[in-house]
Amino acid sequence: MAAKKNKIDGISLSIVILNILIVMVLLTLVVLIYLYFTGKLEPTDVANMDQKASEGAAMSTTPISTVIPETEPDTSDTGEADTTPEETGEPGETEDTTSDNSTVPAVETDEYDEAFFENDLFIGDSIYTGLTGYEFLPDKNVFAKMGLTPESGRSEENGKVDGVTAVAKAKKMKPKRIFIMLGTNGLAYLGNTYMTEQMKLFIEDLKEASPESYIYVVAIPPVTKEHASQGKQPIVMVNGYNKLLRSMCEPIGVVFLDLCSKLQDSSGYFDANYAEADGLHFKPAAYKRMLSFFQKSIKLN
Amino acid sequence: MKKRILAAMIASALMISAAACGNNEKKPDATTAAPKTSAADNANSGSTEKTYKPAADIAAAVLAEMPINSAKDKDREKLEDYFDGLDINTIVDSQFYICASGSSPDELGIFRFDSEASAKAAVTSIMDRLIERKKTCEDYPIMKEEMYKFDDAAVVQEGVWVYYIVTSNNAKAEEIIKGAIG
Repeated sequence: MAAKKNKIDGISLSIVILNILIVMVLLTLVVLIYLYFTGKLEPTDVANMDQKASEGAAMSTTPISTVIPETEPDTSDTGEADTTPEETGEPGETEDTTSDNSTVPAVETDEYDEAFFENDLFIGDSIYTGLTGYEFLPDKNVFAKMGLTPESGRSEENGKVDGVTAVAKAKKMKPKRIFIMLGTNGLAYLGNTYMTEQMKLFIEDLKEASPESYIYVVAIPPVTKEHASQGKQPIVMVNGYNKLLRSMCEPIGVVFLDLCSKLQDSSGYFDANYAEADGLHFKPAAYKRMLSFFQKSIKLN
Repeated sequence: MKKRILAAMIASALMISAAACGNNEKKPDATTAAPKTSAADNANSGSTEKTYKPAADIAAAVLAEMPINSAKDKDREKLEDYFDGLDINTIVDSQFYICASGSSPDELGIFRFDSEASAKAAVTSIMDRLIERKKTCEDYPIMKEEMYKFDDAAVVQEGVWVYYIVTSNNAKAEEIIKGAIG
């Protein structure tokens, strides 16, 4: 029996279908080429969409305990656990500030949730100005002034930003947590012991202004070898001051966060991946590292 | 038959190409120079007045010669955080860079206002920032070697423009800016 061929006006059906497919492919190609050359479609858009999707997924609902830090908390270094805060009444929140002296990986992506710090106050010197400079945190969460020390931080004359002191800002804001990183500027001329005493007094002022706030004393960061060689912030003084800070914290019931070890390279100096050209200030990666470290250190049950 | 098929394919391809390219209208591209603020588009489009070079381009030219370490540009909406009393609603186009890391005092601001009067009114708040920055850096021992940048730092108003420069070569920066806005 002869096969009956379907034909449309003398053209076989298969040919017609084939033509339609070819036309569709041509059409698609032409449209894509047009969009590409008019700049409405960039190859990187696709790459970025994938990256943003993965970042969003990682940060949005992942509990802190499952955010894998590059290094796990190590209780061996400090000799004793860093002090627990006086008030542990915040439901389900405990602070763990055990430090970790393992080598900081050269390059790492540190995730943190900006919303976690929404009600917190960061008090610091020029290094902390980068928190708003780079727009990691809004102005309301940062009290930072170039050159600030634990001594000038208590000063009505020298310790104001936008007309208010740090204590006044804390009194008004009543932050959930206060992170203080001060001391780098005083190393050259104030002396570690005196600065530690001033830091203690500063903390007392803050406690009085905002009694419910959890206070965290942050170790001052390391410096690069080149910067240390200039003599203003030798690394031995950085380490010595941090040691004194750590000792100061427990008796007065505040928490010590050893940021310094998180930013060091294997030789104990400021890791080049985090250090600005001057060997003292932070690259953006350092801020991310810091905020990530803070968040991970404050464990939520 | 084969000729018909071939003719149909060619005709389809021609039709598709015409349709795809038919929407490629040539519009005056108000965003070619990528001004940072949308107000710049509003000001330029449909205006019969003098056209101004975008602040972003002027700033880029300056930074090409005098780069700012860890430079971060600030949107117009954030200018109030840096310049007390500045009325940002009078700013048509702007580009403001700071040293985000805090490691140097360098800053560069180029602002175009909606009128010369607005530009003049803004000078005070911009100058206040310069004075405050200089004082803060003077008290900061680490900045000692950077203080030369304040020697000929300037806030200058020319017509609807105000520019603010604290860079490693302020004279050169001013020359570039004057050449662009002149």
